[in-house]
Amino acid sequence: MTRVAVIGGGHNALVAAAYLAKSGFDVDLLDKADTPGGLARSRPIAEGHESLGTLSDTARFRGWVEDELELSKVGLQRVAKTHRLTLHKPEAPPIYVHGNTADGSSAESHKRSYQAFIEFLTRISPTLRTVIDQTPLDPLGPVMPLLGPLLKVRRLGAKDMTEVMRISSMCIADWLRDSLEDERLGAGLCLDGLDGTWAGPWSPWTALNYLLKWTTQGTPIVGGAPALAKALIERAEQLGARLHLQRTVTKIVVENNVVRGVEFENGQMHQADIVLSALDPKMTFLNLVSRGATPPSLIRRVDNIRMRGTTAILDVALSGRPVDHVGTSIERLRNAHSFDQIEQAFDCSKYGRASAHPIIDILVMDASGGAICPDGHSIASVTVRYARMLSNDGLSEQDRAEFKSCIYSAIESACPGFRKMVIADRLQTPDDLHRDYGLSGGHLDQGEMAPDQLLFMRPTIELSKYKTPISGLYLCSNGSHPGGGLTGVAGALAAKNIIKNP
Amino acid sequence: MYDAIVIGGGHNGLACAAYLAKAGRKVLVLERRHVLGGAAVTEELYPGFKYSTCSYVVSLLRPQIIRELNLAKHGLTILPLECSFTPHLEGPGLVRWPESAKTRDEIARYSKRDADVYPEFGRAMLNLARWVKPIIDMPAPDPTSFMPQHLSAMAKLAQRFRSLSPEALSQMTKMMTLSAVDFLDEWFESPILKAPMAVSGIIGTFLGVRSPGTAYVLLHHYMGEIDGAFRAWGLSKGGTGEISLAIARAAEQLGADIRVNAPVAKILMKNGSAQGVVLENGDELKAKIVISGCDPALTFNGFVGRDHLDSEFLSHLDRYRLRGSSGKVNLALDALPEFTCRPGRGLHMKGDIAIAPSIDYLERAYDDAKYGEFSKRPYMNVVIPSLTDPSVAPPGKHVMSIFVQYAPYHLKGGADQWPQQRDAFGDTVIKTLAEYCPDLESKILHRHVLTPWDLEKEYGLTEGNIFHGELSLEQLFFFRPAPGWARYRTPIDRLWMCGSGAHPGGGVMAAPGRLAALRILKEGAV
Repeated sequence: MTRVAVIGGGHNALVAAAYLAKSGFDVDLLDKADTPGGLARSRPIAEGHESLGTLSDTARFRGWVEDELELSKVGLQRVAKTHRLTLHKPEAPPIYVHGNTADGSSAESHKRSYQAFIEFLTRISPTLRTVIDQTPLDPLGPVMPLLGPLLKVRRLGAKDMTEVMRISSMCIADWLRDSLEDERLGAGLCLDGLDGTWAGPWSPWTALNYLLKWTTQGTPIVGGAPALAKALIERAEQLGARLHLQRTVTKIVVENNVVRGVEFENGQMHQADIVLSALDPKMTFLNLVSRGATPPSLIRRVDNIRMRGTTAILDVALSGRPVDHVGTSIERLRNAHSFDQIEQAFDCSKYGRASAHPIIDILVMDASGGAICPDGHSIASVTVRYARMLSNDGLSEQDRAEFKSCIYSAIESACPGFRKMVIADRLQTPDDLHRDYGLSGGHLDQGEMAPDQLLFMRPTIELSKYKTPISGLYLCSNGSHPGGGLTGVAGALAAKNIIKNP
Repeated sequence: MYDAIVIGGGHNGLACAAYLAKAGRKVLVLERRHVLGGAAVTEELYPGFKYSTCSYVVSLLRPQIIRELNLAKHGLTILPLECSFTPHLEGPGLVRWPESAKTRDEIARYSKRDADVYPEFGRAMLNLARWVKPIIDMPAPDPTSFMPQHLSAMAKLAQRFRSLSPEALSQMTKMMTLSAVDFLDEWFESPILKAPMAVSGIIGTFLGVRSPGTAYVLLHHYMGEIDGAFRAWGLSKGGTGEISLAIARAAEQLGADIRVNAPVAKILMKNGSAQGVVLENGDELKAKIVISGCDPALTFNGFVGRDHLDSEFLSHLDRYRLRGSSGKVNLALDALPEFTCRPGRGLHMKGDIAIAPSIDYLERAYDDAKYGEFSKRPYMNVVIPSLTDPSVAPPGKHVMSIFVQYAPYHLKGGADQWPQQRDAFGDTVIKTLAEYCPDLESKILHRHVLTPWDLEKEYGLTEGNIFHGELSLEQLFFFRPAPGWARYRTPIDRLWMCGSGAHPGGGVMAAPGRLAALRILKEGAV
């Protein structure tokens, strides 16, 4: 039986392990943490209160991965409808976005423009999804495989096809200003386009990121990311994968360009025929593979991968359920209301500072939604932009406290009474994410979402098919195609590529 | 009756007219101002001082135009502008010379590694430029069309793309999409070298050096080099206007009529088709076709009228982004000033002088503009043409051309604030530059400030955009100026476009003018 060592215990590692075990491989999962699940796992915030996962958005975990791994067997369920998104603006009634409707935005024409916007995205989604959910095609490779997707794109029709091409390189602010009459709605929605980027809404190419995210969206998972992690762990073990915790891999052992296994901190060797790394490409190639084993041109390209994390996560245990400033209970809330406001927050990143007026994106869940907390309490996961980038001198306690106080005042103005309900919290800045999860640059998506780091260029041109020049070494992190979020795609596609030609 | 009337006597309009005349067509060019050239113009604003008022350097003027129109015979001389000087407040600054050994020593002062990499970078860029260059000399195909001519053009493009090595493809993708700073970060470490290199990516755009997409323009610098007509940058002897005038002389010799002081009020329309033009004095001039060298906004909103356009085209037109971001300050100087960081009045002042001391400096200049103010400390590109071409100033005196960015057309209080802000803007420019050469102020004889507002009012550049529309990817190639209308035709029958708002876009290339004329002839429109 082919022995596979998977480095990491996050959702991609688990997905890959489950696929491989299902196909009869002998799989060992080696996680350095003491509980598996990586960025999806919950962590205690206070007695009886667990976080919603560092990555908390589960709506993009693919249905086909769920089906192929039969995750329903271990109880994975989807929420019937997406969370209601509240868009906050001081001294203005909130806008509520729920699936394909946006309420609270006054004019009828605004609603119509939102409808037309959704219709366009819905039309182009199937085509984009087929490109996103497969191993990236090599544009320099054989012509035949390229023709299928090309024809699909042309079948969109001249108008939609031109529109997709035209939009892709645009900045999200321009595109949404053109498409939606209400800037508030645009500003609230545009955060999705900024996920994983080192960019503000006025930066070109952010519209593409929005398209990629929107078109691969489904409904969230009941219980959120922790429930997803739990299901994946259970299913992988059920299928025969073995989970090893507190195993820190310090070296990928390569002999004559063939992988032999991995080495642990204590010098112990774990032999394997295939090593699959769910760590980001920089960690994998710059820290684990010895320099002599890879061509310098590859090292240079890996070194050039941009991973500047500017997103922080604040986990909060609450003694009640937060409400917006008109008293409506919150499922998800954002305080972004103008493009300039977001851009100004991003400007701070450019000069190596944290934003004093951060943009927050709050997800709230209580026990009825599957969160681990007492009845009547709730858990919030706050995604905060823009935090200070990782730097050599680290984040001082004072900077940290200041940033936290800025975050709380942003939250408090959108959700009055929030602070009084706080039982305990935990702020994870890029510095923490780097230390706790081994993310290079503290970057949550293991590589910025930029056009030169997507598709056949993610993570680099020679590594884009999950394979590496080292025989037997594969990659399956979000640093590979299709990039960030809890999608399961990189894990699934990497495993499929191994299964196809072991 | 004329075969064609060209609106606008800029370099593109004139080039288009010249090519049509060369093919035996009867052409009339109508220029609103008293002088030809549009934004490629020389004006003697003060006696003895000849300014290249707007566009002040040339790089990509198409060599085939110089050849085919015999421009050298018509008086065109390009003088190379070879070194590039970046003064600093502290330290000696940086000069990049035409001689690589000298440049190496300059760069090595800041980073030995960068000095080693610099020539390698140049070679890599030249390779990429060779690959991209043919695109600016071909008309843009329509990617959605199933017509054989478009399909084969697309196939040829694809083939060209697929001929790249993986290494080159990777570089190319980065080049087309990265910010100038991110791109240069992959090669160099010294910010002192990177800042002046990065600025070539932002000229004329409403983007910062850290905005994705700005790396592409770095290539233009190297494209100029491979044309071989002259080195990367050059000055036209007698000012940039001489380029337009040489083309005009060629056109006239080929039989074209050219009129100045002939402002067009509107395009004469009948049954949805262009019949000719109406001048502001009421004269009607008829022609088989009308060709606009003006930008799309002026052409369609101004000359055609929105009533004649369908809603789909109008929505493209309204989304077409022009927002100008730059201004110009032209000075007449009693004598040369001196830069503190490099005393003396030597060769280093003969090239272009970039006020780009650091990446953050440039980015902050952009931040001001994003929120509707002109940069408190702007990026400036300074050229003293009289050092290279003494004919443009009285003996011993000099002209100084200062390109300034950012000066956003849309100020926070509205574009019409510009006339009140003009002097403050001019003061900011002089004050900032004087930090580097303190004796500048005492040498100024005349000061002429052009804000984006003035560029619009005086030169007909809508929103003061020097390129007739931003050169961002979604407005280039088959999207310029609108999807489906990238081949110089317009939705109005018998109306064509030939200005920088058409493929391949702005700069003193004259490529749109030439390609439009060739297209018009090929399609047998006249």
